[in-house]
Amino acid sequence: MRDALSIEIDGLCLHGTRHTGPNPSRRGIVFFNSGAQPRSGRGELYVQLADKLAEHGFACFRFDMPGLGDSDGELPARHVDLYQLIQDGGHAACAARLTQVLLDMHKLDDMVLAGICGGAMTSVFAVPMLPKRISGLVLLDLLFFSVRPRTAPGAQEQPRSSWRDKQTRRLAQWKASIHDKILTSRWEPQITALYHKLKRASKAILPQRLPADANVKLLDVLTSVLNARIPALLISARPTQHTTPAFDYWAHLRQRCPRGWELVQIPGTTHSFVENGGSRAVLETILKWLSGHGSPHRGALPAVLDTVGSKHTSFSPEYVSAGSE
Amino acid sequence: MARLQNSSCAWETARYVALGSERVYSIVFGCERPLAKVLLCGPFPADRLYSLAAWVKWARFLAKNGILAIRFDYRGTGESTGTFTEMNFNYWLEDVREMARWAASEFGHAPLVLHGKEMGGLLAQKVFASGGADGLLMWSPPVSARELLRQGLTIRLSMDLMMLKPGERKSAETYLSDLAAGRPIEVDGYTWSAGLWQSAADLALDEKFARPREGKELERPWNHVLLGQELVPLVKSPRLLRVMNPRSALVPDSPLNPDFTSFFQLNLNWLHENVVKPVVACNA
Repeated sequence: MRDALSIEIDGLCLHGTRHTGPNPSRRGIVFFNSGAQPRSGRGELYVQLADKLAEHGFACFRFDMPGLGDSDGELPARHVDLYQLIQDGGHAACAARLTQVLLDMHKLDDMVLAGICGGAMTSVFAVPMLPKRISGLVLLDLLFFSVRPRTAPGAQEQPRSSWRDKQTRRLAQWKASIHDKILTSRWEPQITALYHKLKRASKAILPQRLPADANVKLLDVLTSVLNARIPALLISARPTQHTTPAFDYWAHLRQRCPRGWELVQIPGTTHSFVENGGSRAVLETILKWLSGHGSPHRGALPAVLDTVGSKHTSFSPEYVSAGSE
Repeated sequence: MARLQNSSCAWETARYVALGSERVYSIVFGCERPLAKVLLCGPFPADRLYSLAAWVKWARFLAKNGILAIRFDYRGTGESTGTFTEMNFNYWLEDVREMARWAASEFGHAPLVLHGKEMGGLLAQKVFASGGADGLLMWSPPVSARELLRQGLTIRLSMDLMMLKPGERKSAETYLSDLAAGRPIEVDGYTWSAGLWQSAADLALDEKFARPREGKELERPWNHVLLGQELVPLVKSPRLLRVMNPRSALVPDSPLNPDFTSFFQLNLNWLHENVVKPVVACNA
């Protein structure tokens, strides 16, 4: 069952949707916008998740943040400006106030905050604003680097020499031709595997430092939230099997807070989880996690995977890190 | 149903409207004593993602200028109930027809204009041609529903480029043959069914509406407007897909909230000149 909701926050009319099931509990889940996308999410992922989670007893809410989707408010001029606002916690205060209103309005005991990418960032930044009412975090493909415009201001002011440009272009062309040759070679799987092995080995030997573009603020807030024992499920999309990230943020996070969170990686899908059964994998992973952490009827979801139906799934979630309390 | 007043004369009401066994999500951007009512028929579900905020901005612009606007989601998409896979163009055509009937019967006696963007333009044209509504405004309607699906398939092809090796990729024609043979395909999170492809077979713009120009049919005005790339994100651009899916730290430059006032004003003027004024003159 879905209901249309409209709530005024800071003088702006925010529109949202509530999903309730046949056996509603006093626990809620609220989803926050991923970047500039409306509250339904790409491929209606949030709608599917909210419908299913409502069937399992959660009161689910999806709201458009100011200026997004149906909600009133002004957006920044460019996409990158919005992303920078969100990665700096710019939606958190609104999200926290909205969560508070929803908790009071619907007489809920507590709320799980959820979202993809920017929605996950907003969830993290909102927790310290209402710590006692948040029972968990579901963070989908949370990115730890800071985005910036491709044409950075001032980039034009330092023109490189034409000789250097030429060499860079040559090098890039040479790399691209080698890459194409490898892709079409029958040894491609072995070469790719070897490349990633070497990359991993060099990472293990060389000291790892936080990259210059790391979102330190996000890492710090997330660390303090996890150390405050707010249970968190982090689901990451891994587009290809062999990709080795430039920096292992998960290992970094494990060092800073070893317990209380779980990381599940879903291979073969995209950032929005719309490819290769990604959305189904996300749903199954969330339900499985909730049956152990903060289920409305704790322990009452033994047949969760059967309910969702796994015959169409082509994924294999990998439990990379399972922190234990 | 939720109603909020957002200024002295404008208000917004979000509600579900029952249609068959499903419920259609709608928002009315209202005003006191509206001069006209505009039913906003949105684009194909996958395109809604890019343009909804700008589309809603247009609705608020109309309401602030004395024209009541109603936005809704087709069954099986967005906030409306139903399953996308079970829907097709016939259902969405029925949605436009029923929502037009509902809009005509509610909110006073002001003239009703159907305003469709892309797929919505095609559906609105069909309902307009069958006698529904007092005016028609189309923003970049596709020539046919099949053409719309062919264009939509580019997302599937670009995903394949990213995720599959050259030998594993399918061509657009292979995908379309799969659909015609009854094999569903996944495009940007939506499962396209054989039913969707079949329902597109006979759905095309009537010839007289097919080119960008204005006209009058049975004293009812219509306008076909072509949206240019300067109207991104109201229209999709190839770059938007990458910008809205930033897995890299460097985000290409792409407008999110440009000033559309002059474009909106141009369309508002057309509504005033061709729909509002004749009705006022007629009543006088």
